[in-house]
Amino acid sequence: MSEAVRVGVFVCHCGTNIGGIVDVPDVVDYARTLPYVEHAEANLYTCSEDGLSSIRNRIKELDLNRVVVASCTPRTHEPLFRKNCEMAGLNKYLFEFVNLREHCSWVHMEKTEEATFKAKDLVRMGVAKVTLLNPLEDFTTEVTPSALVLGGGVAGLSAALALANQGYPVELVEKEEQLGGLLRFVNRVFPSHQTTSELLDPLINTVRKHPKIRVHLGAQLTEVKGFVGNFKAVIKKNGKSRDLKVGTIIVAVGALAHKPEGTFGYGRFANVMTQLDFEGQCGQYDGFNHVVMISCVGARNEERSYCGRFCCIVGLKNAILIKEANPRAQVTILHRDVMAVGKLYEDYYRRALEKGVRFVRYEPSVPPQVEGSGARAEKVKVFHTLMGKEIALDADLVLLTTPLVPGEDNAALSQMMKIPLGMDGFFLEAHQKLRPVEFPADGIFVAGCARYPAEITESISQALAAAAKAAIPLAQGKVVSEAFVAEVDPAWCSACGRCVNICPFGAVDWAEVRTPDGATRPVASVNPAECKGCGLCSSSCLSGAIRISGFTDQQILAQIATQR
Amino acid sequence: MHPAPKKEKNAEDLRGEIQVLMEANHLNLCLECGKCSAVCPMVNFYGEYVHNRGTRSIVERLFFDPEGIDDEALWYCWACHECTFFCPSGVDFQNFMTEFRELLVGNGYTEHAHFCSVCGSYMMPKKQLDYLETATDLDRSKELLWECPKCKKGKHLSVLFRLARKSSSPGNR
Repeated sequence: MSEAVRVGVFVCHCGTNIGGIVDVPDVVDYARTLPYVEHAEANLYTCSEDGLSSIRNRIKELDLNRVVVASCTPRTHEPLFRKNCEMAGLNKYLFEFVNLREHCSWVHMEKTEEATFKAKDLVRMGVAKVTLLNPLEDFTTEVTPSALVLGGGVAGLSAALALANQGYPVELVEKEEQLGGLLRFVNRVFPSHQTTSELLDPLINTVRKHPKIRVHLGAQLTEVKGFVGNFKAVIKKNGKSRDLKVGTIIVAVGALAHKPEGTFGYGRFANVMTQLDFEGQCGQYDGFNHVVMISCVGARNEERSYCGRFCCIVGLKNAILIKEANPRAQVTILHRDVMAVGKLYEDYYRRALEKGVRFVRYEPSVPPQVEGSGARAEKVKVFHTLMGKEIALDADLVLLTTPLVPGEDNAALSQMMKIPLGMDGFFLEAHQKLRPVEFPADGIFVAGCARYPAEITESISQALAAAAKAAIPLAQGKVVSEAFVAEVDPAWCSACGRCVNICPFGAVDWAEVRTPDGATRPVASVNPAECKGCGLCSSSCLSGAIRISGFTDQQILAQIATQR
Repeated sequence: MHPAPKKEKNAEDLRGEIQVLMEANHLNLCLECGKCSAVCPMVNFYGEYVHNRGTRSIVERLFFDPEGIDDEALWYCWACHECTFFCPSGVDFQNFMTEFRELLVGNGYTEHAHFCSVCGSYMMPKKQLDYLETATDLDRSKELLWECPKCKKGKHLSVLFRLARKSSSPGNR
């Protein structure tokens, strides 16, 4: 920088939030004494139009080329102040935020004097850093206007259709030879008891005929490279590899039905089966006189701590259908709790009760025993907790209600796309509440049972949400990322690989540099379009080879050195 | 009049009749929430809470263990309506209990029932009578508990009737 540094400091009262505790005029007077500070002022609210126009006017009038705002939280207000610097003709990265509210006044409410002292410290540190800032530019990358949808179940189909109807080409990749996912094996859907094909076939047909959707059946995803806007996915079909260039990806790979081999006589008795086996293989509900269902098989235990969420309702569905086909049939559901929450499902539970379906609670410590001879189960013994004794129920059909379990490919996909898996093996979204269909990495989204067991309605809602999110970069045509990114100095990099492993966004990868003797050697390299500037790589680098713009060692050390 | 003798009714038939009563009074709608047990005043009468005597136990045993209907545990409930009032699911346990005991008495299960000493009609469980005899201050008029309201009314009516005739006879003749 050739021109002299001229700093403007704006201290905000934030009403009484800061002004009620910190002696703001005193802080302003102090700021005037700091090196390079040309101007310091107090505002009642710096974020009000009054305060913002003051920033803009002072920049112009006094020719300020650095701005410090000491107010509330950067999370909400930094973009606002930056924008106003930019409006006044100043590079927006020549701005420094000092948090006087969360870091000072709110945590030192009883101590005015000390809080004021600390506020002065914070402002001084801000000024020390701002003088060393350099102007930076945002990164802009072009976006390939198409999307990849992984999985052709009800979530994948809905997401593909939603994107295609907005006009974006969609590549739909399904590893099976047929579309429809797990739902193909379901006979009827709750609570309407419509046949599944009535629901699924129109969806599949629309997708197959859609001019914007290309369906790849029997295709396996083998590689994903790139970043939001510019992904390159490789799929393998019949031994042939094929590249797909897409802007965004939706992961809707679904889940598997749990097969409880070896428990409750499953696999030993022919008439012991899971709900899905039962629906898939017969589709007829009469001909049974004594039906016993066991809920929570393989769920809510040590191995699998989660609740399958709608398996209870599947049990209710089959119980009602069996009762409707043969009202004299005795249907007993052995449960740990009946989870019939959600729209209409309380009524559905009541409907089962009214039909005469009987419910018995069992304790996981005393699980029911399925007994029989040959290949047929004949009795289910269960300890009735309310009566405090064991009862024996006749059974000519035993249905095990099992939860959905994570797909087998999840771990491989997680590695491939650098998207996280939760403890239970399902994909983990970026934020439980606020970002339910996104991953930490930009441009990749999740929907349906890949994330957690979800019924049809939820799968479709999530698919539509993911499609809406995935369409944003496609619609904008470009991705803008902040200038605060990491940068590797190849000369210092020892190629230890810590940064490559630690980056949560998959932004650090290997590259090659030529050594002076003409050979090549690997070094880490950061893709600025993927980097979020979190600093993990920089702080884990043993060689000090990684610097982050806007948070360089020089700037941070200057802040520390200014301690009095 | 004496209670009806124990009928040798087909156990299967009796079970079927109980089933009908259970369905008519919506016992199958029980959600196992436990409100009925929480409000049941039996614990106040008998000094302790015994699960077997309570609403939920009776519902469950009749569904899953229909043997043993001569068990005394079925004769503690007063059919007071408290559980029925609080049931969120609409189980009419009070009405069920009334009808169920009528059915039991009609089929000869009489050991635990108290009958009117005059006409012999069913009045209440013996357990309830025991409690009322000891807990209320009826030292000299316990017999009031032994007769059904109809018989009591009849007895007093005849007294009144006699009195009325006595007082009116001289004037009219």
